[in-house]
Amino acid sequence: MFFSDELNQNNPIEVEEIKKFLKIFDVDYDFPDITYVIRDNGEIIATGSASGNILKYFFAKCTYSGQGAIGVIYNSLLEYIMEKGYNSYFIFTTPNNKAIFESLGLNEVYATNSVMLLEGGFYNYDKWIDKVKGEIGSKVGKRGAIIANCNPMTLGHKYLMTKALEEVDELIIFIVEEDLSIFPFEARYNIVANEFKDNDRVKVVKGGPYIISRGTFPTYFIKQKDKMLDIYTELDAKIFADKIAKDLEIDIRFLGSEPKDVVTLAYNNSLKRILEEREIEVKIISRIEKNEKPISASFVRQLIKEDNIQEAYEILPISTIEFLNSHEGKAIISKIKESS
Amino acid sequence: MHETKITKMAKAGSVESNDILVMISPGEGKIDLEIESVVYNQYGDDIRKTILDTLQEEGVTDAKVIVKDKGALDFTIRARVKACVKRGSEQDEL
Repeated sequence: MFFSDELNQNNPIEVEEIKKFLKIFDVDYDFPDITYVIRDNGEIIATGSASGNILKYFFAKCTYSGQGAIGVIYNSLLEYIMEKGYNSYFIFTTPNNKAIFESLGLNEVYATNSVMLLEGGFYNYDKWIDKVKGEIGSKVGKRGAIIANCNPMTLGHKYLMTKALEEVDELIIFIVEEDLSIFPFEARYNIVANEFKDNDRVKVVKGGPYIISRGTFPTYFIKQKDKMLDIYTELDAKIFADKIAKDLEIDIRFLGSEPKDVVTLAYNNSLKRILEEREIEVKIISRIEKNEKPISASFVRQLIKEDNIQEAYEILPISTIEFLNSHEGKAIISKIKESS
Repeated sequence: MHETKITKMAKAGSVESNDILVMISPGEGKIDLEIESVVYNQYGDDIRKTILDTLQEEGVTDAKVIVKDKGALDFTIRARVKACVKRGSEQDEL
C-alpha cells in the first residue's frame, strides 16, 4: 500500500531529492504549484505535480511500476484540483502513455505522433464547442478567425482585426484564456469586446482551454529540446484545424507578421503550412509601425513602466485607454511599474 | 423528504482496483450522470441504478456526477456516493 505526501518546496533537502529523482527521467523540476511523492524507506519512488489545472511530472521508478503508485498520486492531485475549484484538468504526455492515463479516467482530446493532450473533469471539449457555437450563432458567410492575447489591446491589434474584417463576412476573435499575462483575462476580453461592441460582424470569444498558449505548454517530456517549438506548433495547429475550425466552420485564419521575433516567425510558417494542408486559408497581415517601431503590447507595457503613459495612449484604442483610467486599470499600471 | 443542495465540487474514492472514484459538482437543474467502468458491459445498469438510488436517498436532485469505476462492490459505491454528497454539500467554515 502506498501513501502520497506533499513535497515541501521550502525544504531544500526535499527539493534536492525531487530534482535528483526527476533527473533519472531527464527532467528538470521547475517548481509547479504542488508536488506529491511516494516514498519507500524514505526514498522517492514516484511523483506527480500540478501547475494550475495542468497535471505533470508523472513518473514512477520502473521497479515499482504496475503497483498503482501513479493512481495514488493522481488521487491526491485531484483532491488539490477540486479544492482550488478547477472544473477540469489536463495532461500533456507522449502518446505511448495513453493506456495509463485512460485507465485513470482521462480522455484524449487530440494526439499527434509526438504529443498527446488528455482531459478530465466536469468540462470537456464537446461542451466547450457547443457553448461557443451558441455564442456565435449560425454561419452567415465567409468566417474568419484571429487568436490574440491582447495584453493589452493596441492599435496594432485593432489594425489587424479591421484588416481581417475587410476579407470576411464574420470574424471570430479568440482571446487566450490562460492567466499568465499582467492584464487579467477578464480585462483583456472586455477591452476587445467593448472596442467592437457596435459591430455585429465581430464575435469576441473566450479562448477556452483548447487554444493552447506557448506559456502553458509543458515541454519537460520532450527529449529533443530543439524540437519543442515544432511539437507545440503541430499540436496547437492541428487542434485548431481538425477540431475548432472544423466544428465552427472557419474558412480563414489571420496571423500578425512578426518580422523581428524568430520564434513567432517559425511558428507562423508551420502553422500556415499545417492549416493550408487542411484547406483552411491563412493570411499573414503585416504589423503597423509608428516612428519605425512596430506597435506591440510589450512596447506598451514598457512605456507604462517608464511612466510614459501619454506616449502609450497614442498607440492604444479608446477601450484600452478607458480601462487604464478605471480603478482596476490604475492598479495594473502600478503593478507594471513595480515589476522588475 | 429532505433536500440536499450541492454547493461545490467534491470527490470521494479512488481509481484503485475494487474502488470507485466519484466526483460531484453543482448541476444545471437535474442529475447529470456519466459512468465509466471496467465492468460497464456486465454491470453498467446496476451501477447506474445504485448511484441514482443513493443520490435520491441523500436528497440530491440537481448535480453533475462523474464516476470512474474500477470494479467496486455495491456497498462501496453507496459509501463513496454518500461521502461525496456530504463533502459537496458542506458549508465552508467561516
